Amino acid sequence: MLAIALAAATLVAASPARAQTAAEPTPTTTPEPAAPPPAPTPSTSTTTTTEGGTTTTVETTTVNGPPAETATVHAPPPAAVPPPEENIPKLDERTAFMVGRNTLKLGILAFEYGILRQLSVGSDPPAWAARAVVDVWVPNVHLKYQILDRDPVWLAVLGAVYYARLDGRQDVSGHLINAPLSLFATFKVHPRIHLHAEGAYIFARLEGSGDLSRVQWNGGAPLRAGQVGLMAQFRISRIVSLTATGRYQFYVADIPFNATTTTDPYTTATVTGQLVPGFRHPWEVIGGVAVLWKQFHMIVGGGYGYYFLPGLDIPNTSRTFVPDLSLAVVL
Amino acid sequence: MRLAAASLVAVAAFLASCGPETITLPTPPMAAETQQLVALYDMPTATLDTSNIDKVRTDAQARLDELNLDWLPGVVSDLLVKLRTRLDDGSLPTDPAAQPQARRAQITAVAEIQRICVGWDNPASAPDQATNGSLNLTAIVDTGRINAEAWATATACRVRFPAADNSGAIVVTPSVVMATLDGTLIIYLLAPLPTDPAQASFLLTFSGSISRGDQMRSASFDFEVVNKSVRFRVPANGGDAIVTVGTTLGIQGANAGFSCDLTTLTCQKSS
Repeated sequence: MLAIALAAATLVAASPARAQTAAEPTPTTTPEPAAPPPAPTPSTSTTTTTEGGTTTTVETTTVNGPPAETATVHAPPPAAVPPPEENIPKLDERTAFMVGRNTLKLGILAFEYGILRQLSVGSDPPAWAARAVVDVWVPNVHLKYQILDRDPVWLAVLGAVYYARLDGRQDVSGHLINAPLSLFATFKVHPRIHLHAEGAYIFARLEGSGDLSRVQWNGGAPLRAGQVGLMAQFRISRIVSLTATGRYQFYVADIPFNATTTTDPYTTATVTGQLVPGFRHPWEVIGGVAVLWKQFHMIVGGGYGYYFLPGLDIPNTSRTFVPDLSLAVVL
Repeated sequence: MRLAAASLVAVAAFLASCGPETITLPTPPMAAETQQLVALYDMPTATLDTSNIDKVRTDAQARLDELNLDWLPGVVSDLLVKLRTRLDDGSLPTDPAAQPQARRAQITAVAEIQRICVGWDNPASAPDQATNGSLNLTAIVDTGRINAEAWATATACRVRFPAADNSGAIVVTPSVVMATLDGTLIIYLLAPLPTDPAQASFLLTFSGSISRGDQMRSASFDFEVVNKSVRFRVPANGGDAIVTVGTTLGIQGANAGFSCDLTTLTCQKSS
């Protein structure tokens, strides 16, 4: 993680970021080389050249003196112009791309608002929706900042904070703070192929008293974990891309806990320990399709492995089918 | 932009410095000796015959008076029940013979039970550690399995037997025992932790002092509580015989077993 951050700092220091907008291709007029020596009789010649999608026709008329030149530029048909990069919707979930300035994205996996072109704030609805199945509120917020926008490389960092108050049960009192920090790096290896890499460090802390341990043990949440992810995106048309995603947890620390209870007026019990995850290196592989209209994004896929909870990045404890569904409206 | 990069580096460095906090389990006291003792109770080493059985019986009766079997097993059983309650609340393992489930998250932990002794008052007074002393029990769970050996420290622990009733009536009985316990108790579980004191099965090794009334004596002994019966060890002929307390005294040696009638003070070979 540190190495990645240092590399990012080096890149930034070497080249200041510029606007994410790609330079629009502009029609160009190609000047003809110098005309040949004047002929004794008037003559007319026509030269046609094509360069960069622009056709240029040059007619040269010579009448007893230096030639006079006239140039006519014929614009190509609109369909022949490749779509500017800026007009191709970007995949901004778990990539280094941003949602865009003053843009609101409402999705089932994330609400996102672009404060600036390179800064957005958001929240994850699934964590809020967890209330439907467990007696815990999980308010959360995240910030995403693009630190490098230098085609063909983009870098962004995303920090999130999830808070859970664990007092839904009589014997539980405490709270959980989960703060994943992710660094996204996107590389355009081909006009149609992007590689989106991610390195994530998940830090969480559980504090309180009572039987917090029971809540924790059933959840199996790592308190310190390192994960890497890679998504290959192959754009088969302007809006449709095929995606292949992999995620791997390369590090997880044992989970320390401490709980003190008073079982009766004469007895106080303290349990101090650590939870050793049963499986230290969960992974998942997912294949899918991303359909990215300007105002509607849809990602559908499926795979296999240990399902990582979106946003929280907490892996499931057993291998299973891994669904991947994201729907969002971009306003 | 450089400020952002520097901030990122700082955050990454901070997170990288957050190393795991690992717990170091305490080492159970006299673990090897306790294991040997458990094995000894299963396989007595004394050679018994009719020529020495009467002496062994006499020694056993004398030993019986030192063991405080009328109240001490109850104190230990009660402590184990409190430990069981706490471990159950945390879904922690309670059976030293149970194998942890594979590929599941495993817990390594230290459980400490501090129990303020009830004291001598009848009815029992409010918890008062300064007056009544305490028992501090330590048990360890190592990678999903509870260690069979737990240990406790008794500090001026006042124990009343029979236990104080909660009816409010003050009953003065000549046979009431008011003892004070000081020392170390090593408890080796021979079965899962009990949910009821009557279910407890353990080996107890005590080393310290016990006061009864105005008499205080240093003591070092061990006994087993198994299936509601008590067994203890008596040296004999360079080995150890195991005595089972019941309506008769059962004395088991390496080569033979005897059943001794405490009324007639006679022993018959039983095996």
